[in-house]
Amino acid sequence: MAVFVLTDASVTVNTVDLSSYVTNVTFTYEKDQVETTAMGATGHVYTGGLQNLSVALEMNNDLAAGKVFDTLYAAVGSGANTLVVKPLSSGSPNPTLTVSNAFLPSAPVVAGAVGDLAKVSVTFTGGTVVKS
Amino acid sequence: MASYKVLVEGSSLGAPGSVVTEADIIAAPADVELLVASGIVEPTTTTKKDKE
Repeated sequence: MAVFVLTDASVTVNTVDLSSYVTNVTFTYEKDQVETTAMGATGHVYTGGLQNLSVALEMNNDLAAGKVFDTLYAAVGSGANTLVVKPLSSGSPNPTLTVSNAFLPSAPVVAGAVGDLAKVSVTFTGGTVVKS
Repeated sequence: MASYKVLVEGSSLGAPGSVVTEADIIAAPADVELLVASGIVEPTTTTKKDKE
């Protein structure tokens, strides 16, 4: 597969497919940088520690039952959120990133100025990702 | 085992009205309490049959 333009990423939050509302997604896969430098080293040496994930989403808001507002409102303060993010909605190759136990500290569920499209930006942190 | 009815469109658990078990939700994977709180599923009511 060649380089591609991101036009059809898939984002599911707590089993609900919110892809059609997502305008921006940033999945940052990170591991803590743990120093293992010891005597005799001539420079810092590191190893990967715990996963330190972050999934930032910008979405158009929807007040319909079980959609953007309801899903995010219930997700705030919970460390049991599940996210499934894929670069494409279908096709191959298409790695599936499943995050379990993500935490959502806050969600600006009502935000914007007069005349603006109602949008919401959130960042899930923590949890553990599995790529399949 | 407890069962739950799917209430919203677009859930990977199934179409609205589908009935799933707690094991189905955990396997999704998802958290049962969170899905109930967000209105994605609701517990189904079960009636016990009286002994004859």
